[in-house]
Amino acid sequence: MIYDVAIIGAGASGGSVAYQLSHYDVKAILLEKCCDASFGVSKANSGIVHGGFHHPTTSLKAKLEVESIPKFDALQAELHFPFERCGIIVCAYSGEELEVCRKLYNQGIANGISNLKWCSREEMLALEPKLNARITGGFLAPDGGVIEPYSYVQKLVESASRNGIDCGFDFKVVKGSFADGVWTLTDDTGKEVKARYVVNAAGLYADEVSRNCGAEEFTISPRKGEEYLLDRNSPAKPEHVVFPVPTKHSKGVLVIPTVGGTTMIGPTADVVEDKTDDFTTADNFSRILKLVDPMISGISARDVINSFSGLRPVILEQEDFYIAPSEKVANFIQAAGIQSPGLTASPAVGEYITSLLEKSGLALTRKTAPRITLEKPIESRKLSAEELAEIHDSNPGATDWVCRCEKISEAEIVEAVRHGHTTLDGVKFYTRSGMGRCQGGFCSARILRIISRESGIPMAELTKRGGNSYLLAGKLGDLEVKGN
Amino acid sequence: MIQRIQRDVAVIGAGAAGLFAAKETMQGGCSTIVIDRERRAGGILNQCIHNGFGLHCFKKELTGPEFAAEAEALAVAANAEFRYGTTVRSIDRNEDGTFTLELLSRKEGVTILTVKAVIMAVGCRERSRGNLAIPGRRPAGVWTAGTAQKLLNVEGVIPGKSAVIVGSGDIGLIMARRMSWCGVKVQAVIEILPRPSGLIRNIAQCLEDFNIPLLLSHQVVNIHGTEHVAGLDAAPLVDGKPDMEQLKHFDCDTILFSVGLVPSNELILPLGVELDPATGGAKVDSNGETNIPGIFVAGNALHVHDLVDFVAEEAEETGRSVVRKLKGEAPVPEFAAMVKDNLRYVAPLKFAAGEKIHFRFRPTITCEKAILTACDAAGNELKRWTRMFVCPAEMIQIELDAAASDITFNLEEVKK
Amino acid sequence: MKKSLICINCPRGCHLEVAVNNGEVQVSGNQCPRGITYAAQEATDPRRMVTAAVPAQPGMPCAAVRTSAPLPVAMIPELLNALYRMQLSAPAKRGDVLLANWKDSGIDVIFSADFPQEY
Repeated sequence: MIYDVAIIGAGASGGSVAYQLSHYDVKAILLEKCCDASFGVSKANSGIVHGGFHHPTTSLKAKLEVESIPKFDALQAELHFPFERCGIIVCAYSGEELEVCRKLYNQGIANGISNLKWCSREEMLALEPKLNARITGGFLAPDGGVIEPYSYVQKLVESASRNGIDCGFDFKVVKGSFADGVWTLTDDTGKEVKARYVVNAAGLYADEVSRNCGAEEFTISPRKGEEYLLDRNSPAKPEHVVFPVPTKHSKGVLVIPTVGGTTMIGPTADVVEDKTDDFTTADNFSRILKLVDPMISGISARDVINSFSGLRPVILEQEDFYIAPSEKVANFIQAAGIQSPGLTASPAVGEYITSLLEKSGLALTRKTAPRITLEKPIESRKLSAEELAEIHDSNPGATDWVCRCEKISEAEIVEAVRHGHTTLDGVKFYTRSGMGRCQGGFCSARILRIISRESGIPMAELTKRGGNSYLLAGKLGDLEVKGN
Repeated sequence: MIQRIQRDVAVIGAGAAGLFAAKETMQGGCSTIVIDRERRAGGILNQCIHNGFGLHCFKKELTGPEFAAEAEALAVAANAEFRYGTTVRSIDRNEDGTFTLELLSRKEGVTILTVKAVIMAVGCRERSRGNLAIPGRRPAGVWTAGTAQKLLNVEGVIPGKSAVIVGSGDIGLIMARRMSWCGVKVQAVIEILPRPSGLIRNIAQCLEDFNIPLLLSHQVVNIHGTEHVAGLDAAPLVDGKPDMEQLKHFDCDTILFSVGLVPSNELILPLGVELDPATGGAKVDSNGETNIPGIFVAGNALHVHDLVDFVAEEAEETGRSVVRKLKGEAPVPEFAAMVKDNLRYVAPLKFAAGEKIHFRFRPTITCEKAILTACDAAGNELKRWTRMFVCPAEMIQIELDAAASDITFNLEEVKK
Repeated sequence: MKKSLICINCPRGCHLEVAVNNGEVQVSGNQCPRGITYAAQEATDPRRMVTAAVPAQPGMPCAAVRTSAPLPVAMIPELLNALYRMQLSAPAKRGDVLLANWKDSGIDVIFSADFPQEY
């Protein structure tokens, strides 16, 4: 069959395009090289809905970011992902920094964020008592907040899929050719998908996809950010997302009260060569601690429960998003260089790309049939004793705790598997299981057993995140025991 | 429907500590309910299928599951009540000093339990790679030793074919033998300290039996592998810093971390229970009671023990204290216990005079012979004990007829 | 011939010296009589208690087993390989014999926990 649209990349951008297109009578497919959505750039992310003040008014970034910020409430109501408008504060610790802060504030106002609130030193400390008393002032962006990025993307894709968009996972596009008005996309195993339009939202690999399709030559340079996650009992957990004044290449190292209840510090911002570089280093750990410690009280290396790194897909020459129809090949929309604030901007990115498809000639008719909505997931940890007792009658797994640290019930794990998440990370991203202080130490074995039982995949064949990330080498007896 | 029940005592955790504590509270006439999230008694003992348990308690050498079964039999004989597959979601303190616990289980749904006292016997958790912020990549194939133990001994699956173990804690050593006995090639155990963290006999029977090298004073400086573990780099420490010139690379597909245990306190922290930074467990007095009256802690939830037998013994004492407390017969602990040189901590931190009290310590030194002294507030020596071979891996336990004075304990090496 | 050993009988882990001269065994460094027995055994016929998880039918946890007495070290791999090839399903009680008199060693393999356990 020939699809109307093939979207390459099931991250925040591609997922949002798929979600948008699912509102129309369009045959589309979302292609992803990994085995689940949000397994690329979008998984390693600070999980912030930004405040609309960081980027210049003339940039596409700022436009799409500002358009998107108000959209998250309606999306959350429909898709049920964790999101909270806890507000963002930007803190200045010197007269010089205060000047940068003022510029940022003015930029935000110019961008159309009218409710930014300039704060004196005292007002800042009243907002966030844990801030270092050396603070000189700053401002509050009340609409900013925190979001669970993987869950958000998984839900976008789930909703798109339930509303008629096909998903092709484990499909790594290595070749694209256009003939007779149809693109043929080939993956590394020789599988083919045909579509009239292609959206290149391949994140870190958008340059390779573009090249393999004969479109524009450009380079995605990964800019790495390391982050460290602190226990939910960390005394440093702030009420707001706490920003310093930004540096040239990044928004600086921040303190984030994650929507899941932990605290995250980071990220760094260093250009690296390797697109698979997920190293964390001892040097960067101390660098982050050194930057964060003077900002807020209560930071302790002892509270670290995990560390990770993510790669921002940056086009160095321009720093802005590159979202435009290809000028070299037909029916090909580039959605590249979508680094920060890509997650925040993603709702408008989806709409914008949809409009570009329409301008390129794709006929879009809005569906008249009512949309299939996503049922509200069970979140046992948020339910009262009475509510749990009631649910227990029909779903006893809701009162069967699996992940003790994050308080995730068996019913939630089962639900994740039934929604197609059959890897340990896929289930983790969908449910939060294993994200707490023991980092899956107590629950991993049981979760693997549940995945195996629900999916029918033998336990020894389960993976962490697809591909070659197998977790186990086999069963007892597969290896011969030899004498010394 | 919510079930509402009342008992005298709730014991949370049906491992060694919980079972021995419950046996005592039942024998003391207090109705006791033992709650555990697992579907059977024994806790972590069930995955410790090796032998070496029970020499003190049962005067015979048992495997973990056997110790669990014998301990369960004692609590069953004392008529304790059990709720398995049950999680305690919260503990609230009521105005009258009782506690309300919310219990969740697949079988019974929601139960609201009201008790006069709670014994926390929830054990400890393993520090993970993430907890230590070990640098490197983030591939599949990195486990804590305890998780790998559960996978192998309960689930019957093998984590990999070739492993490196980081940390020489007892679980790591036990897993070196277990994996060797499953056909996995264990290449090395890497320890950052200049001495092993586990018991000597485990070095002998778990490493030397299999010619597994133990690299002391070595630090993991990198983990390789994009999707799956492909190797690990370790470097010897020179002046406290890894010497990259002497980097050792290991090709392996599995890395196990055995880098320490932390008492679990999450449930009682919201009540305002104070922790001892030296143990990571609650501060308790000689009744095993925390600063919140009615909340008691015993076993590895209090401080990490080296032997399950000592866990059992400590929990029995706590069980007896709970009985006395509920009968209004418990002495009031008013004197402080402190440690001076070469001791990392002492438990309990407060005690009642005129009682026979067990004090438990962890030394910070390794030596062939040492003398432990107890001095009163005026500096007068009350008693001294000679100990042959002390090391941080082994707990020291002494019994003292407590005088009416604060006591300071001190450990000194006796040089030959 | 002199040999240094660490006694594995209890957590103390005594450092033993054992010498065998014309069949006569001399042990030093022990703090209890069990050290002598262990060292003599270790010098002439080393043995270990063997514990293992034995696979069960799919959906069931492994069974925990142990030998009834220490087994000669050289016999351990063969026993383990045999145990791992099994697939248990019949219920058993703690103490029940799984394998009697393994290879005429006089040593049994016994269940160290009831089987199957709930998990």
